[in-house]
Amino acid sequence: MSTYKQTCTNLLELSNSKVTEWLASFDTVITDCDGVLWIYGNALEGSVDVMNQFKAMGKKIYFCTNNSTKTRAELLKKGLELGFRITEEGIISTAHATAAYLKQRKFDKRVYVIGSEGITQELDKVGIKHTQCGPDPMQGPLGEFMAKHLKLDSDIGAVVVGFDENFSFPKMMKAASYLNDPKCLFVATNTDERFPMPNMVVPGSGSFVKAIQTCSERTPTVIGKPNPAICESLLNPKKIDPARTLMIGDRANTDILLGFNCGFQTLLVGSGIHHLSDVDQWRKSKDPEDKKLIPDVYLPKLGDLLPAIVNSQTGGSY
Amino acid sequence: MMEGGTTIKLLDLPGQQVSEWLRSFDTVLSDGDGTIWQDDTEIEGAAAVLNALQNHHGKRVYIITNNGLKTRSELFGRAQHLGFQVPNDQHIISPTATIVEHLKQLPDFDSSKHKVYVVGNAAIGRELRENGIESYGAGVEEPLAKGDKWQDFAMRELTKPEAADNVGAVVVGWDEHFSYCKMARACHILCRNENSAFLVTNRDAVHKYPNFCIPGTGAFVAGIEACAGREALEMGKPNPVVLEPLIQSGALRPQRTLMIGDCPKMDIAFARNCGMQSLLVGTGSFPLDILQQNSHLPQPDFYLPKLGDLLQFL
Repeated sequence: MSTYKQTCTNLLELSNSKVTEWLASFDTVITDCDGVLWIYGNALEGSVDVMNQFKAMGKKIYFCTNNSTKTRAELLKKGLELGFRITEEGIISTAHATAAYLKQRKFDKRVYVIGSEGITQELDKVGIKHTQCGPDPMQGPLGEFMAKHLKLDSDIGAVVVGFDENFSFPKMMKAASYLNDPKCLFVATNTDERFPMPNMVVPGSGSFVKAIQTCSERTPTVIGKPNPAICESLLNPKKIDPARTLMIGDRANTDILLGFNCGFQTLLVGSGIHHLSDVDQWRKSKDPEDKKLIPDVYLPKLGDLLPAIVNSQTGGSY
Repeated sequence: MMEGGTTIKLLDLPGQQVSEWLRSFDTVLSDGDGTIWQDDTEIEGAAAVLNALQNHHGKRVYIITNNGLKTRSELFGRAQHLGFQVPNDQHIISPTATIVEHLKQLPDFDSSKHKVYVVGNAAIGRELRENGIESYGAGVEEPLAKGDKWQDFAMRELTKPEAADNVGAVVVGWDEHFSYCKMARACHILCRNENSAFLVTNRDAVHKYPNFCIPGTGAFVAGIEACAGREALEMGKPNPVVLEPLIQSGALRPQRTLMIGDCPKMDIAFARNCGMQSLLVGTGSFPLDILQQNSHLPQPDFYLPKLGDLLQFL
């Protein structure tokens, strides 16, 4: 068990020898992407160096994102272009995990998708049939729409909801109608309510899921963080040792909570959604659920670890 | 008023007891759909009953509906057309009317400089305009433009000052043109303008039919609430805020008011929330025997199979 468990210890305030000790306490690193490694199109300062140093130190590296708009191949391309040394097997994404979840259940019907090509391409890869994503705007007033344009397919066995820039009333109506059959599966890629964007609040998958949840009166199976299902393939069979795995993230209720749920060590970086002021709130809170959000250790940004890593490699003698 | 007792079936009471009961309230609030009308058709006997209560028994009668698709004056027009003799449109309580009343008394909303962003149907825009409040978005389609990705929309539209400047409220109603772009605009305003009002006509989640389900306003607002991290104020039953203007003006006293409706979750809950007597009519989805099997639902004080059954006592 980590000495720092749920203490939110600021690594910048520890001595070099303590940080070196901490660096040696984990063999696997699972990191979130948006807000930790990059923001939108740009790598965050120092993130590439730190992750590549972890790899050079012999640690296993995984990128784990709730972003369902990209396939693993696209995420790999982005990571490589920014300079990260990563392979496709090292990428855990909700789009991929959603397709894997359905495949594992031997799903053999068709999926109604409210999402983007990140999801449909991953479904194609595992041979699962699905509807097309893209625009589905309202045609005419409701009466006319229902009489002339609304078509419900009879072979839909699941509704998958992720991030959809073409979210619309017709899609809500179709999803609610399909989900009226209790045998139809309801899967959400993730429940992040906001899509990380600098200086702007924009709806994320979680907002679309909430809308569908409300009009279908059903609760979805959520694939992404903090549900341990997303790293199922690492935990069973035991590819990694949870106690010697570090989870890095910027959002406590997905990344840090996933770490808590899986028994990982956790590092919160302040370069994205949550900050030390949020941790203070959780410390003061009487709700035991809030305690799970408190990380073991903290850094303002991942790049801040670089001096300590260099120091640990050179034994402080440079 | 009964406290946790069993529902009294008015038709089982002797006439004298019913007459006594009729003297226990001065104001009558009646639901619309399923109680006195079904869309543009009167439920038989309903007009005769409400008119008798008003004209022969001196009661003040109000029609209180969660229909957010028509303005107060349009609903009054329907009432008149179907034979209800309520004196003027002030006797119609509807979400669009409640929204206007609520905005007018909010200290942070100034109709001389603020406008309202509406994610909803055109009636909301009409009601606001009829009451001197400027709005935009009502009844408007806003799908993502061809060739646009969501980032293009957000960076172009939400960085404009007019995307949030002087927008004093976001109102959500039933919207068959609900879209990502509308959600994004609403969230942007609600997060930028902390003092903006956030109102919703009603929270119906869905309307279920045998072969399809029609999303309700509750679903649209849930999506916006999730992103904005703020809760909307419901401008319809069963929220007691709906009754505030009438209570403030002294037009009614809840303890001397009877609420009549067909929906336990809306009408009976509303009566409970406001401290009024409740009369359930069986012309909706919950005739009494079904309701009593669902004891988790609010049980009414009184029951009639249909409102017209009261006529014999009037």
